Amino acid sequence: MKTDELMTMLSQTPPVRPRLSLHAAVILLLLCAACVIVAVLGVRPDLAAAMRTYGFWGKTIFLGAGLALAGYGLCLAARPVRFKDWPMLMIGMLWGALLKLTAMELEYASLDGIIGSWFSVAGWTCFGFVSLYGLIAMGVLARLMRDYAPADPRHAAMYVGFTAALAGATGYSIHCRMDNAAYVVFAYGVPILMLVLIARIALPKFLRW
Amino acid sequence: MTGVQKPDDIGQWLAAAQGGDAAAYRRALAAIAPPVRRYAARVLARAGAAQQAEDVVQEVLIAVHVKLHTYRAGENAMPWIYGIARYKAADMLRRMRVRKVSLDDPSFGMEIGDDAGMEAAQAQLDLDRLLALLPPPQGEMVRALKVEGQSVETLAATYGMSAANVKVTVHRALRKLAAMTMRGKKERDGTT
Repeated sequence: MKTDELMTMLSQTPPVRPRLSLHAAVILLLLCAACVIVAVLGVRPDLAAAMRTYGFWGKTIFLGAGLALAGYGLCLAARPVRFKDWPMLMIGMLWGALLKLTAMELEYASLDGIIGSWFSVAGWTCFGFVSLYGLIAMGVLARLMRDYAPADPRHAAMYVGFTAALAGATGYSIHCRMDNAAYVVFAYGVPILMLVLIARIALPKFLRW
Repeated sequence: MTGVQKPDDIGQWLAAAQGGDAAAYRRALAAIAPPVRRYAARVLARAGAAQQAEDVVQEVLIAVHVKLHTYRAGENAMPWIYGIARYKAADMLRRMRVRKVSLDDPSFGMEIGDDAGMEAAQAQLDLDRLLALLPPPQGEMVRALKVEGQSVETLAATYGMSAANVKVTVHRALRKLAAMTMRGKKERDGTT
């Protein structure tokens, strides 16, 4: 087919639109995570008391801001134009701040107690839910990303992993009673990093367009 | 399509096309094809595969159609278009696994006896040969800025660099070109 004929044919065909925008998908995934958690595990019983503590708000803001940044970075990475990757830098700074809080926490809390909390039932439940939900969300976002045009599929894959895992983590935090930084760093951080790594390795070929 | 279209025009046509304006869309596609053809020919010529440029143009046009929703109305269209073209040209090279670099390219063909055409084509070949010697993306940036007349801002957006960085990169590339030209001249003077 000649290029002129192709142009005529394309101009007479309505442009393609994705079934669901990435913004909407991230919000829907977060809502789904919250609904699943409330339906299966329930809201944390000490919610009213927890809302009066800095730890609760720190964790909520950390996970919510991380998800918002990852979602925004996902939308930027979905375009063929390269961009200055400040969302990833901000996420890194958030983790840095949390690690600093963890170091401060280690000064007055016992290490055995902290490690015990990581490997408690709550820790494993957190790891299991964030990993499982993150994997499902990763599949959904990867499928949607195929309708877009990422300039760098590897970069986009990392954002898919980050966003999916943080959606699961933010949803799970409705149920989670542990608010201390050391717990959040490990119990949430490990499945998040694991999913980012899986996405970075497994998704780039799938995201080629 | 006559005359050189401003990038803003293409952006406006693409925005109108997103709203379903078929005539604007046809104009946008027609305006997109020539710069993409030049870009693809230049990139593929380094691998001796400039004859595949038209395939890349068609792939880019199809990608523009399928990914049109990723264009944001109001932004400069050229970085978006070059982003797609870069991806598709790289994809073509990846598929072809071409290693040989040659400038014996039919896209530089000319009528026999057309001296002006021969000279222009020879100048084009010389320029391409020189630019191909520069490390990427210096050659592409010099051509885009100095030959095609794109703005520093457009290049900065295309390559994800700051405007100052683009200027420094192009300046260094021009110094290298000048050095290469002088060296070539000295070699020629030494042999004659």
